[in-house]
Amino acid sequence: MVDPAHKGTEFPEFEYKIERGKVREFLLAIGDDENKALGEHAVIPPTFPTAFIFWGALNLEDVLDSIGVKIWNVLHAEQEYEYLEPIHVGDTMIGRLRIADIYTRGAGSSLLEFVELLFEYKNQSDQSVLRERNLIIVREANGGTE
Amino acid sequence: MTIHFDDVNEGDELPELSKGPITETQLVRYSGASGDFNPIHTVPRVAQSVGLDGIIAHGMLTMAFAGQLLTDWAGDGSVRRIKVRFSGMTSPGETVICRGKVSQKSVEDGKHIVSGRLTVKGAEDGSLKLKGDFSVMVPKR
Repeated sequence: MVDPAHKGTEFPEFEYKIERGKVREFLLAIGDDENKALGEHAVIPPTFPTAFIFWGALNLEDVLDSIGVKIWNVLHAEQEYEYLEPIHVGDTMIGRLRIADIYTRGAGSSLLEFVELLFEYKNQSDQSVLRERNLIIVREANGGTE
Repeated sequence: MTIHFDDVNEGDELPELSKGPITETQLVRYSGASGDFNPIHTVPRVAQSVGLDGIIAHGMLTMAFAGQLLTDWAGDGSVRRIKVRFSGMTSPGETVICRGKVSQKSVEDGKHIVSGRLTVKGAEDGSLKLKGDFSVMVPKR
């Protein structure tokens, strides 16, 4: 069980600088047009902010570890991005993560544990640009090591 | 190429987007691009040790396809909101089809917003991978 006391936990600000090559690599990986990363006013693909988390100074594996969750026992239930302003190649993101909620649904053998992560991003001009909500299901710890 | 607010109607379907077949190499590539190195997406032994039949695609890869459905239709930088619920796992070898439908048009703070729902399904078996909703901002003539 994830200790509900972790609800409300806030993590230190983390930074991510959006490099053109990284956006191009992302477009190639998803089978989209890599040329979208070129140009002075190139905007990021809608789900690129996943890289803010995994390539930023935040280590999600450590974050989850700190609340007693192993990343390989996690299933992704829901994901939401809300853009307040466009985000461009070259921008620097300042991110903040808060554990917004921890709760269970169901009972007995069908009990499911949910953890809701809320990310808020500002850009280098201190403009709020993006809110991200990430809902994960914690599977029962049944091993799994690398 | 870009759509205009006036030309969009409630009930309109977005041009379908087919993605795939997804390959093991693509999952390695997406792991590196996104930085999500959860080994259940790349290392069969780990996937099996947590009770899966084999490696599975990142849910976020299928969501990225849904994102492309929107930007192909409404333009890069048009997406204001995209929210999905992941329903089923996707395995290497599968092709998926992204579909969307307009449910509402509105003007908010002078911005022209088109909202709707979307799905990503397996091309062969029609299994639901994710469903969700979206809002895009589009120009008015």
